[in-house]
Amino acid sequence: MARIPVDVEIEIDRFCNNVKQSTYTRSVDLALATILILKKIIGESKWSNASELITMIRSQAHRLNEGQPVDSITFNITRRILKIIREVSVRIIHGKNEGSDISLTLQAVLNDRATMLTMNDDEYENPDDNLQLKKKQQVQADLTESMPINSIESEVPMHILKPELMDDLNWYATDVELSVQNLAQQALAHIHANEIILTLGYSYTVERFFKYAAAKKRQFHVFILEHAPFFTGHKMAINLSQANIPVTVVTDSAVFAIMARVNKILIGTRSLLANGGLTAKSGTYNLALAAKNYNVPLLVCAPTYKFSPTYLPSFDPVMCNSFPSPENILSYESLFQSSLDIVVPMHDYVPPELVTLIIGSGMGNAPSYVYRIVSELYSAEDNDLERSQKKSSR
Amino acid sequence: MTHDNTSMSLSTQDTMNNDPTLQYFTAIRQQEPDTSVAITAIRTLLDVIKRSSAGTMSELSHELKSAVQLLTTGTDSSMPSVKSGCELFLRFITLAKFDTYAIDECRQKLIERGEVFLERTLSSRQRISEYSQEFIVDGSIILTHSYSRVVLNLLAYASKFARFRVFVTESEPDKSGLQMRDELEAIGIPSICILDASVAYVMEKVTFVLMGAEAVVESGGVINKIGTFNIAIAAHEMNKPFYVASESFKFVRYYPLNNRDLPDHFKFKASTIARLSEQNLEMEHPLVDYTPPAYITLLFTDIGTLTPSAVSDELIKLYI
Repeated sequence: MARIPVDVEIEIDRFCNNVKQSTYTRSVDLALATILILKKIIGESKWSNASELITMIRSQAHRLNEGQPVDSITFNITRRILKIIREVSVRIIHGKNEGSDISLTLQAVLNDRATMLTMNDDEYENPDDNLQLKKKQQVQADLTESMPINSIESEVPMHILKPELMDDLNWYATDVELSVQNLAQQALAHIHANEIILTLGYSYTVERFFKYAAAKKRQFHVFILEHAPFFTGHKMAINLSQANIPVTVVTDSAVFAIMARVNKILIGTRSLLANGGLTAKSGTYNLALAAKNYNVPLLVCAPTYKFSPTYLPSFDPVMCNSFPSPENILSYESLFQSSLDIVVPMHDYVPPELVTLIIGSGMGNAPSYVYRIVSELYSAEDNDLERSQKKSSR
Repeated sequence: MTHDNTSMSLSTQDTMNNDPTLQYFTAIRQQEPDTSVAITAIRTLLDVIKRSSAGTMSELSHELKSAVQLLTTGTDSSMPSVKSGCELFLRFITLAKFDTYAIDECRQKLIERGEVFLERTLSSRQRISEYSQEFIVDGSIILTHSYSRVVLNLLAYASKFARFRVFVTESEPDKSGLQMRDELEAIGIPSICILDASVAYVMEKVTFVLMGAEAVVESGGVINKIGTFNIAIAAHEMNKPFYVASESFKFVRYYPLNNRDLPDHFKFKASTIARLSEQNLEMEHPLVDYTPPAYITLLFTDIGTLTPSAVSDELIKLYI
């Protein structure tokens, strides 16, 4: 059985505290920290084969992602690493890449692969009733267990899997580290000379994007929406003007008024949902609606670790959101009575119809294509990760 | 949503009644009205294989094809569902690899795989309910259309975890919405039956719309009881999510361009087509309509939650 040593447990606790206290201001830092802690868990814990490793990570997932919404970066990276483990196991067994995960597709149902215990044809050698029983058991297992484990992975022992896996994980970490850089290098394709580009608040990715284009001597002007009540737009304005990019700061409420003058909009996002929608800074939905009205393209910069395979269960802005302290708006002392409700949502949901292009680490994609990227990045078997989290917390 | 009146012309009735395939099909429809029509079709085809005395694979496949023909023209059951179920099963046969050429062994293998396929599809409604459970939150007001067993199952499962209310459209011409309302009330879900005409009136109160489907087409659109497209347009206009719950065996390899493009055997009962010539069909009311993918927010299927654009991907994966 898999076991996590005490010092790794301490590291996990430290990571969770950091996440809760929002120590990581940039999303890329959070992503790298998550990869690091998972590498530590994989590297220093005792496990004997791939399926034990997967079970262990799935059971730790709820700890690592505690208090995070289901489309958070930590969840995405946990899922990505689970997919990498599965890919490496299959590669070891079959000696080549299996391609996308087919366990839940129509093809699997037809070819019966989801219910077969191995991918070989030697099953046909077995006597019929044994076959029926095994298949029935597998079907039952798929339905009743919340953690369906393909028993192929129990055939991959640690000493073969570990070096290849650590190699792949190192590649992945480097990829994530360079993701913002790779994204920024596409700036010249999207920012043209003498354009007026609108953005909202502060995003590290978007800042790097603009700075790259400016460094390549492209002339353009940036309008920045303040992003009240946090006013992160001011920080963006200062940073960009230090790179000699002409900047104009605009109040959020004026977005409709200036939209006619804007050529395109470039924003970051907290996460990208599987239907191509966004959970982005509050005020983005406003921006997107104004853009739609004037037919201004809305471009979103999202590195791969922000792609989430989840959907938003409700479009009610109060339901799936976080609400920080309203201290910025009305201080605690200024209120005589508490019959006043101050609502400060952090995020907005932007439906996919309003998004024009998603600029990822590779190339630009339409929002309707996101489901495809997501199916390649993650395995369908891990889609219930948050459900097993809910069950364990009940 | 299924139209099960087996009223046919006298001349063919004798041969129809004697045919064992049709007898098996109608027997199951009567004894187990809760089972999906497509599953009933698949079970009938499995029965054809079991009863078959074919000497070669191509003879067996010919028998199956004529059985499918019989099912699509001889019964008045929901045509798109029967068609997709049969097509998937036939595809299953053509994809099977065989180690030997002895017909009996091959047939035995087909029966085994058929039963595994059947077992997996029987659990699809449960899986749909589990996947879609997170979308039903406390205090939701759900609008649904006509009678759908998938939606009934889904709401029954969700009612254990959330409190919500349901509006059901009466759904002429067969008023099957009334039956849906009764069954929902029996489970304990407060439901109100509304006129088809009051969908737009009610839409502003609704949280989201949930439908079943008779078939899901390649474009990601759905074919469902007449009135679905009306509701989809109203929901789109009022910015309400429009969800469709459907099993994956209803995915059919067909790409209608618009509502006129739907074939007659989808829109009308087999008995109606037999009774009238093509001219007179124009005067008949169609039983289904096509809702384009642009109006659909998400599809809840047993292979996961899909966007309409993902449906064609799944179909392609199936047919390579």
